[in-house]
This record gives sequence, structure tokens and C-alpha cells, in this order.
Amino acid sequence: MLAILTEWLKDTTRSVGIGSNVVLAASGDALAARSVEAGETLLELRSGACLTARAAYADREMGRDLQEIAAQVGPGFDTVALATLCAVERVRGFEAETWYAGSTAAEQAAAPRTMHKEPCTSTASRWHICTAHLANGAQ
Amino acid sequence: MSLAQASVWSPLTSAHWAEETLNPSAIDPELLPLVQQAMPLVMPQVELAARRAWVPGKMDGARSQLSDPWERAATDDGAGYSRVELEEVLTAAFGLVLARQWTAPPPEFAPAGGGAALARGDVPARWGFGDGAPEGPALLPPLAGLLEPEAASAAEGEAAADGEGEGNVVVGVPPRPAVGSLGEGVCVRCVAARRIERGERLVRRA
Repeated sequence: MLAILTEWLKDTTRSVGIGSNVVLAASGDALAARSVEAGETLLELRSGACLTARAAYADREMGRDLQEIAAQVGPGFDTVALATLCAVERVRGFEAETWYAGSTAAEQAAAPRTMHKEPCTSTASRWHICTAHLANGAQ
Repeated sequence: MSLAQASVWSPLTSAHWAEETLNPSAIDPELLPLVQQAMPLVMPQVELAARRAWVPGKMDGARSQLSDPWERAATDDGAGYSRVELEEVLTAAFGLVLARQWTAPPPEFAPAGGGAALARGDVPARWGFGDGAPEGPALLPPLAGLLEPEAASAAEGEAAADGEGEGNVVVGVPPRPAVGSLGEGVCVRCVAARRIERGERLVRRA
């Protein structure tokens, strides 16, 4: 689990400093990977490692519904949206389908959606939204 | 052929769930009525996700191919998640978020202070100075002692008071630079508050 988190954080869209300045111990503690002087930056977290309600609202399966509920409920709903995303991640087994309307949130929601005229896999239906192709830049 | 892959946030959410499973968070009794009010609002989304995630055969009791013990137990009747099981998941998710979320970003670093000096004044509205920076409550990677929110680190601080003294790292949001955009996209910066030796545990200074 820790190894996966470490690898995930090493992506520079998520953080800078993991591995070079900070290492994670088996206990989950963060340890200094090298000696540093006062005032030196050890770790920077970027938006890719900061999970906010934005990810829940961008979820391709439930995001629009959550946005509508948030508009009705008003301020304070962000915590509810975060909890919903955590619950949904749990029941999905922390997985996301590569092609159907489900879950991978932030990255794919930011990309424009493209409809395919023909299925690109044996299990894909016609007119589906192929996020795998979008991620690869294919049309 | 499996079309499923790890979700974008799964390393972070599964790490929080793993800790939550080991140390379940209790929901503050004062907040419980609010949680009970919110649950019916979002339960349809959780039910829908559970239905779509259901794979016949894969989640089938003794023949289960699931590696997650919790998930295997929840679906061991071969009938997917029951309403009660989904309510338990959602309640636990509220417990997790209420205990582990940062309700707001930490203070900004002082623009001219340099190093580990934090600015005095209001808490920044966003996680970073960019116009598109995230805002609102957030779950950060669960790095014990360093990126835990105030409530969790208060208990940590009591323990640290015995041996390690006050924290050695200041956690804050980078300020908007006078010129340029250096630091744009950074939500949280961790800066050494004093000299730190290699291998030393990093603890956030309150």
C-alpha cells in the first residue's frame, strides 16, 4: 500500500520531494531522506495530490448528480461530496472502468469528450465515450 | 479481458481506507444528525456505483476472485452489496472524511519572510495562489505527523511532547510571488523549521 502511494506521489503532477527529500517509513511516518537546513523546502504537494470535492463533482458517473444536490443544499456540501467519493471508491474496489461512464474523475473529466461512431473494443457499445482513446490522443 | 484499472485517486483513497480499517474514526455525536440527514441525499449515487461495479462470478462467495477481505466478505452471499452494507460503507466514509480532512488550507507563507515564516492573517481561500487552485476541504496523502489535520496532530503533539519536542516542519500554502508564477500549482509546501538530520521523523509544527 505504502509503495503504491509512494510511486503515485513521485509523479511530478502530484508532488516534488518524495524520494529525494522525504521517504515514507513502514509505519506511515515521513522521514528526512537527507539532512536539510532550516528554510529548505522538503516537499511540495500539487493539486494532483490534494483530493477535494472537485474530484467528486468531476466523477463521470455521479458528478453531475452531486453538482445538482450541492446547488440545492448550498455551502457545506463539499464534505458530503468527499465522503460520497470515498464510499464510491470503496464499493468500486478502487477501480475505474477504462471506457464506460465511470469514475476516473479529475484527469478525464478535464478532457473534452469524443463520441466514436464504431466500437473500438469487442465489449464497447456504439457511440460510447472512449476515455482510453482520449488519453492516448487517438480519434 | 478486464477493462478495469486503478482509479486516479485510488492510491490516496485506499491508503486512507486502510488506516480507517485499522483505526475506525468515531463520528462526533454533534455531527451525527447532520450525517444522518446527508446520507439519504447521496445514497442513490453509492447504490448506483455498487450496482455498476458488481461483476457476477467475480463476487460470488466461495468462488470470489476478490483480493480485498472486506469486499469479499461484503459480497460473500453472491448477491452484491446489501442496503445495510452500503449504509455501513457510507457511514464509515463520513467518519473517515470528518476525521482526516483538512477543513481549510493551512496559512500562507510570508511573502517576504522567506524560509519557514508563515504570514499572519486570514486562512487562504484556496489551496495555492492560482485562480484555478482547489478550494474547500481536502484529503491529503496520509503522511503521519506531517500532513494530518489539526485534530489528529493534536494527539500526535501530546505524544511528541514527551520525546521529540515541537514539530520540525512548517506546512503552508505558497504566496503569490511579486513577479512571475513560480510555485503556481503547488497546494502545500513543507519547509524545514530547523536543521533536520537524515532519517529524522518529520513532524508538522502547530
